[in-house]
Amino acid sequence: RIYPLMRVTLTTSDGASVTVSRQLTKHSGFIEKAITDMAVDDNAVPLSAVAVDVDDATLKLVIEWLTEHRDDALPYPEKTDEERRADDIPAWDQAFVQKWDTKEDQQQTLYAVITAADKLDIKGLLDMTCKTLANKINGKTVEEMREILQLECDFTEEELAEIRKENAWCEN
Amino acid sequence: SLAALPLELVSHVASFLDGIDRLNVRAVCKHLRDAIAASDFEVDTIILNSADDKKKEVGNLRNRLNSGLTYIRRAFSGSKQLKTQGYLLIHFGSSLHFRTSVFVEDVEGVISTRQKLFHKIRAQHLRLELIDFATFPIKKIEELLGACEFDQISMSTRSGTLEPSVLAFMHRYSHKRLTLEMHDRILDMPTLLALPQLHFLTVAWGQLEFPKSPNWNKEKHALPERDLLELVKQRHASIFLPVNMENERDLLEILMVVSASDIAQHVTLKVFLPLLRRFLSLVDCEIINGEVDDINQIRPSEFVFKSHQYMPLITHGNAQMSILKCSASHLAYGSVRYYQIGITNPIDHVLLSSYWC
Repeated sequence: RIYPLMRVTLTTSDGASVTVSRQLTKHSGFIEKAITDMAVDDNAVPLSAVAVDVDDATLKLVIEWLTEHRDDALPYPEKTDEERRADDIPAWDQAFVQKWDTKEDQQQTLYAVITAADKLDIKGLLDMTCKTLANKINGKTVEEMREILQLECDFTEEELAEIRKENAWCEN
Repeated sequence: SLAALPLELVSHVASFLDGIDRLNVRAVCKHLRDAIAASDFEVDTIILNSADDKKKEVGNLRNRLNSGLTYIRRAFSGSKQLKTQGYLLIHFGSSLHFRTSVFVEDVEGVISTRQKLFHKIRAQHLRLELIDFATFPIKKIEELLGACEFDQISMSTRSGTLEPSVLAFMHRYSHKRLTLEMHDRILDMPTLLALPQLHFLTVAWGQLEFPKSPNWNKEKHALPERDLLELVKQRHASIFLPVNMENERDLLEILMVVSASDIAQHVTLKVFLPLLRRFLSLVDCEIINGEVDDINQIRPSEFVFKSHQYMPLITHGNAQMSILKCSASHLAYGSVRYYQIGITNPIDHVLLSSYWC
């Protein structure tokens, strides 16, 4: 059992320290494993600091998301009975992303949060941010995708022709 | 940038893309091409089916040929063969579709492209519909599917027998929810007896409707009643087959077998009034005024009669037999009145509701 008042200190990659409730960190497979590996008594307060490979600004966003989702069911459901979809992001999450995923930001924060969610093993946040990115390119042409994702085409003409030929096997 | 994200993370993003987007994303850059190939694809249903109307398919192909698709032109190059050999249509979910002829070049082209669009696919339901396994062997079907996870399989057949490799495939997945629907004709008895335990064994009732259908053929379209008894003993969870039901004692024996079964079983039958009268007499009941909703129990016996929500129920041991008056008036050859009998052990409302519908 995790008691609401239990807290854990996280040290970020840029040297900051943040103390958060175990109610939040229980959603992070990485932090929970780190605490387990410390083999400390759960009643020992405060716990030793856990180092996370995430910068302070990104961790603050992660903590904001965890605070909203602190009561989400665990374990995170791996499989659904439906076709995997990206259009089921909750309204709060959409608003949360819109605050910082601006045009000027060019998805840099989104990539940082995706990476942080992966490193900290927070499946709900990872899925939500990956869906957000998938939604950006959903239904777009190849050229539009390159523009949105700011990626250069690194194929040769021959390679592109080969891809078109392969894709032609599909009936879509 | 996205290019700096590890491949597995980009693949995770790709797992939320449908088939059409996958085709486009893989043409953006090499990193995304590789991420798509390494991604998982989760869909509701995978359907593989042989083109049902070959002439129509050839007509469609002609149109496609005119539209200039090179792969169709290649497949169409031996159009005479095509008419007889047919096609296989492959639908990975609602957004990724392939079509292949039997030509090795076509099959390999589809497999190669499928490998580049996802690494592993997961579906709730795999449907193998009317596949001509002589043309598309099950081994080839499995190659076309690649790494594939699914929870249930529905198969439909139109031949009188199944190749040993197909039966072996069914046995390999007998732990899944397995359904078999027979079209055009019923499988021969040795094949039926060689099937693994099924969740549901039935026919396409729209086609094999009833003995009065103009196309009905006793040999092809209905099972002898003793064969049904053997199939019930095979412990399939649910059976709904056309049966030449003539002897009320065989109907009684089916009730006894289901009653003694140690698994949930459900058998549905269509019978006519004369047989039903004889059967009811055998279980100490009689029909009053010619209506099954007015049945009288003549004397107390091991068969208990009661009426449940206007449907007569006869209980014996663990089994319940329901009798439903039906009319096939929607069929072109006129109204046919028959009685649908459901024998269930134990009462499984999920089973009942799904099959009555």
